[in-house]
Amino acid sequence: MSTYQVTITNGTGSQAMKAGTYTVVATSAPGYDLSSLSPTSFTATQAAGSQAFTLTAQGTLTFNVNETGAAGGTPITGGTIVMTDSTGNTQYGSPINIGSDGNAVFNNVPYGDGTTPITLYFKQLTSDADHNVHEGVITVSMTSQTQTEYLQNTANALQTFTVTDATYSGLPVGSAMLSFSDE
Amino acid sequence: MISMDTRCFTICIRCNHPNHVLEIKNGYDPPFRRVVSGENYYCVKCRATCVLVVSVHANGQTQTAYLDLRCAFRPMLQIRFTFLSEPKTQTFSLVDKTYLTPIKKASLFFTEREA
Repeated sequence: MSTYQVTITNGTGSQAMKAGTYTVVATSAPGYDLSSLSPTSFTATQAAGSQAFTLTAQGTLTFNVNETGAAGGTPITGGTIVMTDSTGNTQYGSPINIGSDGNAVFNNVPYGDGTTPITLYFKQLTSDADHNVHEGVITVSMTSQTQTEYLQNTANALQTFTVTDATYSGLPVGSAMLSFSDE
Repeated sequence: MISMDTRCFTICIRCNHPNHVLEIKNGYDPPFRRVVSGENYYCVKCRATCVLVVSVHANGQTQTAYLDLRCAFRPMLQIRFTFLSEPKTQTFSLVDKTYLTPIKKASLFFTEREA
């Protein structure tokens, strides 16, 4: 009876294996529920092969998006946040909506503890009509199963415009309407 | 293990003529062919009594054995092959089921089930 211990690094691992059917268990995966491994069997043939496995985590991360980035700030009322890699260029899973209470809840995220936290990355994609999106990658260190992070979205700043006659310098246009479109 | 479609045959070492085809019956593991005293084991072309027994596995692996067919005059002779196929590399991916993120570090333990 053959046994193999396969190390997975950054989502992949490989092992030369004798042909046969194997029972598979996860023995280590920080932040994840080891019993959630799927599938739990693998059949190796005499040819090279491959198999995709999944694990599920049990943590919950809540983003509270408000005008101050701290508890008690005025919440925004819409928008989306998505999990990404450390660069923010690769998105994982579907974007999570920010509710009218300013909260975006990510379920089933991996978590660690104060000694060995799990680092996750997120990016805010959109905000509501009255606020600016938080720029850049949001880094979260998960040190407990349930965690809340506060994210600041500043209110739209007041912009002042003047419209004058192009020929007669300084002559204000009595009445006009300008339309601005976001690029 | 050896698959059922493994085949064995002999090649005359003097004239290279292919000779007897030895069939592998289901359930023989490892397979063997009983050469019974009195069988006409010599090259049908040149009458040589020394042959190579060649066994070809389904995956292309071959194994040979030199056989002096004069030995066949013993009451019984077994030609036995055991194929130990080279383990082939198996590649695994492990991702978060919800977000499909690659899991940075993990260990999977594989235990072969009894046949």
